[in-house]
Amino acid sequence: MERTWHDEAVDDRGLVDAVLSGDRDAFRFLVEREQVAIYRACLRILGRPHDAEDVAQESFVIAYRSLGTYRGDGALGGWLMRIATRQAFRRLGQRRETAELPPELPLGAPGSDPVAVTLAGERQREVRLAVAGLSEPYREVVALRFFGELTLDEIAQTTKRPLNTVKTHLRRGLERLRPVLGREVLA
Amino acid sequence: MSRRPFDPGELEELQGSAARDLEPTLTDLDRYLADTAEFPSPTFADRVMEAVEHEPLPRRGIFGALSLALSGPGGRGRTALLAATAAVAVLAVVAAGQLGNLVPNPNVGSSPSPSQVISPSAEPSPSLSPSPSPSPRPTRTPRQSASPTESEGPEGSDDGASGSPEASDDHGGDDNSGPGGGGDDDSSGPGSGSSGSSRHSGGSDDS
Repeated sequence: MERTWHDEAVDDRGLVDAVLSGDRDAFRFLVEREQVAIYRACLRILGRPHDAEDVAQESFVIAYRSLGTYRGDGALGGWLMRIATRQAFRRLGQRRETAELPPELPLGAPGSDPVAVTLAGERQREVRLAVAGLSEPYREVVALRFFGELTLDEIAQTTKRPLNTVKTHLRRGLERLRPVLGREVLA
Repeated sequence: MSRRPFDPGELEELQGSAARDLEPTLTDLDRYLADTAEFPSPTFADRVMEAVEHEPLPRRGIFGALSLALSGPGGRGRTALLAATAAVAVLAVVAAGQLGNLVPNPNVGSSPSPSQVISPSAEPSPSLSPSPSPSPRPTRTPRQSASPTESEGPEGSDDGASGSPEASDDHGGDDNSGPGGGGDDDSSGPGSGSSGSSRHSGGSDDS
C-alpha cells in the first residue's frame, strides 16, 4: 500500500529526509500543513493578500532550496516562519522604496459601515507600520510571536537564542510599540 | 489552525503595572490578529508545487548527511566508522604539520642556491644611474617641497584637480536601516540572501 503523509504522525526530520530523497508528496504535505500560518504571517506584515501569497510562495521555494541546511534542532514550522517573515519584511522595504501603491483594503472588513471599515483599515495599518518600524531583534521576535503565532520556546529554538533573551526582546519590543499602539481611535 | 493569543504570563517579569501598561498594546495586536485570520486561496499549494517542480533536488547539508548516516540501519557501526575516519584524518593533518617542522629545509643552513644569489655587478647599470641633466638644480628638491602654491603635486596625482585629497569612496552609507527596510543580516538565517528568484506560477489572482 502506498504511503501517504497525511495518514501518519510525521516528525520533521523524517519529512525533510523524505523531501531530500526526492519525495515530492512529502513537500506537498509540508506546504499544506504550514501554508495557513505562513500566509497569515505574510499578510499581517504586508497587508495585501496578493503580496502575501506571492511572498508565501517565494518563501516555500526558498525553503525547498535550502532544506538541506535544516538541522532539525527546532520545529520545521518555525524555521519556515523565519524565512517567511524575513522575506515579507524585505518585500515591504522594497515596496516602500519603489512606488507608492494605493492603500491596502482593510482586511476582514467588519460589515458594510464605511466608517467602521475605514477605522479598521487605519488601525490595521498602524499595527503593521508600528511593528515594521521596530529595530532588530525586537521586530523579528514580535513578528514571530504575534504574526507567526510561534511560542516563545519555538522562537528560541528557531533563532538559536536563549529563552530569556527572547523574552527580553519581546518585552522591549512591546514596550516600544506602546506609544504607537493601544491609543483610542476617535471616530 | 488554532490561534495562540498572547498571555502576559509568558513573560514572567511582565506583572503588575507593567502588564497593565501593555494591555492596550496587546489588545490592539490581538484584534489585528483576529482581523487577519484569513486563508490562502485554494490553489496556493498547487502553485507552490508547480514553482518547485523545476527546481533541482535540494542538496543534503553536512548535518543532514551525518544524521542520516547515524540514524540508518547499522547506525552504531557507521558511527564507529565515521569516528575512526575522522580521527585518522585529524591525525594525518597533525602528523603532516609535525613532519613539516621536523624535515630540514634544504635551503636552511646550506649555501644559497645559485638562483638566489644576486651577483654584484661591477659597473652600475645605465638604468640606475641618475639621468644626466644639464641643469645644476638637484632633482629631488621639488619633490620635497610642500609649497602650497603648487597646484599639482610632484606625483602628478589626479586628485590634485579636485582639491580633495581624501576622496574616499565610502560615501552614502548603507540604506538598510529604514523601518521595515529588510535590513536583515543575511549571514546567518535560513534562506537568507537567496530571495527574489523564486518562480511564480501564473498570476496570483486573489481579491
